[in-house]
Amino acid sequence: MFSMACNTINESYTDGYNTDPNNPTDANAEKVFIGGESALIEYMESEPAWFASMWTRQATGSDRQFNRIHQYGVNNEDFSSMWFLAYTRALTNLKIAEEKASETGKNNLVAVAKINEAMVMGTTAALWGNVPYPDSPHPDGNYVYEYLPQADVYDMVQTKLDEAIQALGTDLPSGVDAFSYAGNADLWVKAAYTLKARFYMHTGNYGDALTAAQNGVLATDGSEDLMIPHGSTYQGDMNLWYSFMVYDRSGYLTAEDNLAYGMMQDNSDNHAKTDESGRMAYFYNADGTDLNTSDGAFAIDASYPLIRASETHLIMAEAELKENNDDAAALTHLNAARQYAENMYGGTYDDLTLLDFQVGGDYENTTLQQEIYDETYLALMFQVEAFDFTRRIDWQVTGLTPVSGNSQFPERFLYSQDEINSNPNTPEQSAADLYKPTPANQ
Amino acid sequence: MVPTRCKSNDVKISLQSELTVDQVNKNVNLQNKYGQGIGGSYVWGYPLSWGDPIAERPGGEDVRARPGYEYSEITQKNSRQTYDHASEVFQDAYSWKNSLSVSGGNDQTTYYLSVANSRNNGVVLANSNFNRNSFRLNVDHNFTEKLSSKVNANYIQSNSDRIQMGSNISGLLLGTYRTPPDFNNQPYLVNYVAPNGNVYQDEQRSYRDPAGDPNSGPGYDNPLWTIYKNRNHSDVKRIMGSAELKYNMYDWLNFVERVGVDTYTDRRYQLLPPGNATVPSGSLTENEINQYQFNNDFIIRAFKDFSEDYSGNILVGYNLNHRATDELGATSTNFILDDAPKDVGNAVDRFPFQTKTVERTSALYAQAEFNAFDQLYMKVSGRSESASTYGENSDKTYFYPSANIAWQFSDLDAFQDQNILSFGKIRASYGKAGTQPSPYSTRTNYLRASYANGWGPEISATYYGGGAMRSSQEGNSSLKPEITTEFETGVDLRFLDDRIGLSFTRYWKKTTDALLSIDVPPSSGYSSRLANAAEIENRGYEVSLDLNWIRSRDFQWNTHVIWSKNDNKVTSLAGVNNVFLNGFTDGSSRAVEGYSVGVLYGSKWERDDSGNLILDENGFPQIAPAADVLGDPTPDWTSGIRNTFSYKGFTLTALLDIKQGGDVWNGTKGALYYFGIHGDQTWSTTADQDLVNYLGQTIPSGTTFRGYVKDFGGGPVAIDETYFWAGPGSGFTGPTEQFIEDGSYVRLREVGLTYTLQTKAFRDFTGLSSIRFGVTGRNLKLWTDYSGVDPETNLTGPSNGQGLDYFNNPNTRTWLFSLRVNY
Repeated sequence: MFSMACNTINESYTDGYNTDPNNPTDANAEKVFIGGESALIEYMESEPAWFASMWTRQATGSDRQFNRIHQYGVNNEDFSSMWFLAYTRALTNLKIAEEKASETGKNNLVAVAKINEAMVMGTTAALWGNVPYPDSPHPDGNYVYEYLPQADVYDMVQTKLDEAIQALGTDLPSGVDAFSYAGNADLWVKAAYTLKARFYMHTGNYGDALTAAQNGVLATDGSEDLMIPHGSTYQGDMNLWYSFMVYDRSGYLTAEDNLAYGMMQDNSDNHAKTDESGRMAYFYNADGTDLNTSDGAFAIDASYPLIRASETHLIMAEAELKENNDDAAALTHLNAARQYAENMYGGTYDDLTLLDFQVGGDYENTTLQQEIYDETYLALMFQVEAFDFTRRIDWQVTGLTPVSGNSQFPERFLYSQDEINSNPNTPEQSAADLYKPTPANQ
Repeated sequence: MVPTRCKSNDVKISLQSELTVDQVNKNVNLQNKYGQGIGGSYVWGYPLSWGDPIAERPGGEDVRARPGYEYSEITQKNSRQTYDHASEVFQDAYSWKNSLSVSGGNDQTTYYLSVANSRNNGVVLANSNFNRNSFRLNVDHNFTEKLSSKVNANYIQSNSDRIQMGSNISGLLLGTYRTPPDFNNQPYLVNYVAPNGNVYQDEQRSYRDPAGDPNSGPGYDNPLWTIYKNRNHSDVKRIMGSAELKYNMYDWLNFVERVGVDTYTDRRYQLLPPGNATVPSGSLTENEINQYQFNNDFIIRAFKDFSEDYSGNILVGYNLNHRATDELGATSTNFILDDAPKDVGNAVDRFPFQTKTVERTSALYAQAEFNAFDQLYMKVSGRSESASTYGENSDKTYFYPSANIAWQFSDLDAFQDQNILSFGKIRASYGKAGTQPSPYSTRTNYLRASYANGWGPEISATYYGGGAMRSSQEGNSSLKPEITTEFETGVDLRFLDDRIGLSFTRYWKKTTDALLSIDVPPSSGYSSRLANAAEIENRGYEVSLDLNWIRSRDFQWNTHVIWSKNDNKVTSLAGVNNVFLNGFTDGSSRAVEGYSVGVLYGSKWERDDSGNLILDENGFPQIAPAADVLGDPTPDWTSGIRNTFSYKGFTLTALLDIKQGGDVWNGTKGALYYFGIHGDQTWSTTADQDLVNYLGQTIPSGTTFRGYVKDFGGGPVAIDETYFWAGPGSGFTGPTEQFIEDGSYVRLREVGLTYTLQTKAFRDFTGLSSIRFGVTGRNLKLWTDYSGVDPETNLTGPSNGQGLDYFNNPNTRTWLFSLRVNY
């Protein structure tokens, strides 16, 4: 009795004061979708892409931790932040948006969110191999998920994309898309097809990749490219590479030891049909020792690519060779990718012919396949996909070697230290595991 | 400090003045043998100090690329001049403190009035200060025999300027310690002349931008820029007041009603002017934090003397407590007019922010005291407490009992006829107390979406149509208080007419349901939740010995020794491997099951099952992917020894502090190793055989290199500069494990001499009652093997993350001169 009386007296003073006056406990589907897309920006454009650019030797880690990462001296902690972005930020908010949109019958929003989800999870599976793929953003007290085989995750990603393509009819309402598509349904369908083709290439399904790519992002004037727009506000909408290199960590990422600039220089020097000066200037500074933060790819408000049409064409070129042995078709798509480069960066990328690859031709010292590989390496510059690509072709890019002091390339990202701390299903890794290909590349 | 109040019309006046001088007690160890650059060559503007041997330069003036501009690129480094960056930003700091108090009263009313003023300066050259003015009034008044009151009012106005510290590129010591020894940080502002002749006024010049070219950022802020240009000001106005009314209804029964208010506003101003390293376009944050606390107690107390030998009292009370914070402010970046007075409106990008919190607790409490024969004391009490921050699914009210018992057995008749034991007491206590969860942690929130990656770059969905995200911290509707249960027992003995005192205390403390933010797997959709997750045990001893060697009328000598030992252990952690408490992602302080709270945690060397290093193909060790426990900052034991000598009016006292054990992460050294600037890194070795360096390059036999030869188990290899900037030899590029050190020390904590003049002749002559002069030196001498600055400094201040040394401010030695006049 007495204690009950105590409780009543006490609690009448404290009850009702635990409602947060600062933040709500819910948000609508559209806003959470934009939140999810924005998380995808931070995930796809920053850390994983920086790692990819160092390990493919398109950029150089030149200072402090980036020196170590450049030399492959990584540990689990280095991957905690990007893993968190992929799962807790991007995947979770996209899934919440899908759930809320489907409750209110907004099927187009569900579909676009699924395309974004597929991009996140396909990339995540490519980088880490076997990974968790929760189907709900609500753990309900059970936080520990299984690690699914990488192949299963790729299958689930393809299914997501198929569902999205099926469902996507009309455009999203204005203002509900962070990316350059501004909610355009036709463009999102094309993006979904290119993503299907991209991930089929990861798993070696060249025929399916070729079929999907036919409907993908193909316009060589770049008008169908999926781009992240940027402005000039620091910690707002500024290009994340610019922010990193100019505002946050000046000197950490340079191009002191890169392969791509020299490769483009060689292309210009050795081939009459090719002048790479435009693309070189767009990505690098005048002597190729640093990245162009003033008026090119890494300017303060430069858009950053998630999908370029050249990627789709180069997928088709590679698949035509590998699936159909069709040199002519392959060459057509290589030329389309070269046309894209000329349209986007300037310079000269005249059409190549099969004769060029014959004895006496301008490209007699290489093969069509090698030229497709090298062009893909350049077309994907500074995207995560460059690392996915070089791994799946066993690093057969002309002149590509591990950085000094190493005899092998890194083949994957290591699991996040935060995940290891709390999920006992996370596979244990040693320093040597960094060099072990993911199942798709074994 | 507060003189005893007297019940007469006497007025007591006391005046006290203090002058303090602070100086840095131990500087970081930097090298001055090798210059800016890499590969053993001077490189203009290079971040590192792996350049040429300074002594081998020809001397004289440096050759500049553009002789018309005196800070243009150096094309030939001739000068052998070096600069002492470890000490250049510090000075001896002088501080003053003055106070005046007046007290007095009569039978009805007593009062105490004081005013105090202090001006404190920090050891950094400028803009490092803390000033305080305070006013206090206490009045006690008896209205009638039965009704009395106490009123206290306290007003404190303080302001401070602080220099940015710690791990950020505008932090003072990052720029200071990383500057190459051959670079002069003066001047920090230049009128930059561009190659085309354009002049840019007052541009920041730093060792990574030695020309002051506004198109290439400073890298780190020049330490002088940090001191003189970046601002960090705070203005606090605080009022504390309380009023108490007491009604003595009967001799044995009284009622007390007490209310108290503590409220302050803290107005802050933080400016990084355009051209700074952190936000090149400039940044200003202005905010005001309001804090308000209200406390109410109503207490009924009854007394009873059962007989001459037995007495007791009981007390019942009710407490209400209300705490509220309200912060409103804005950060602006990208100023429109660089030269205009800075306000948050003068900017292109503005980010307003606000936070409010309210927390309430209420408690009913009761206490009973019992006293027998003036030698046995007992007290039991209970507190039934509710708080607003508990989860919806947990109990709302918790009960905390406590009890004390003490027996002064030396008062027994059996001890009256001896003169060996003059005092003896045994005591035991038991108590339980709760700690509340932080507010608003019971539900999952949605927040404005904004994402970072740990290196700085951040995307805000506000700029992409306005996006929301679910908080990564899951709400926990079962939150309840953390409970600490403590049992303590001890004995206090004094011998030979109190000449020797001995005290022993043993305690056990157990914290259950400890509140920690625990990791959940990020793949689940959340990354953390605040939970009653841990169980932590503390057990320890404290022994003190008091020796009055000499106790004559004119001369006294006393020695007081304290020795204590605490063992702390996390006994359970709700299934997670570890919990981050403080520090960096690599080099942190964490809770790990089976270890002390706050163990040092981070990356380590890759080893095989028998503990041997696993070497890479060139014979060098490698970093292991997974992090682990690396050390424990908890000392094995601590001790303090104080000697006090008094002769007539003179008192001399000295205190020696000893800390045995306790690890420190020397993150400063780890970072400086990367830069080639640590004092250790002046090695020079001539290879007696062909050696391979970290990058697999061969150093031919007979070559002299800056480094040394080491065998990690795969044959001798060259530890040259590549081991530090590319290999695992530095804190940025290698495991944290190698920078854990023992932080034991012996310290002369204090030596003080005071003289009090209060002879009758003096009092008669001056009319004063006494004058006291004092000189005290604090932290005068430190003996330690720790290779950094003082192992007592800590990155995260007095938090539960201890033993973290990362560009912390050095500690200081202090001289204090005081004068007190009593009238």
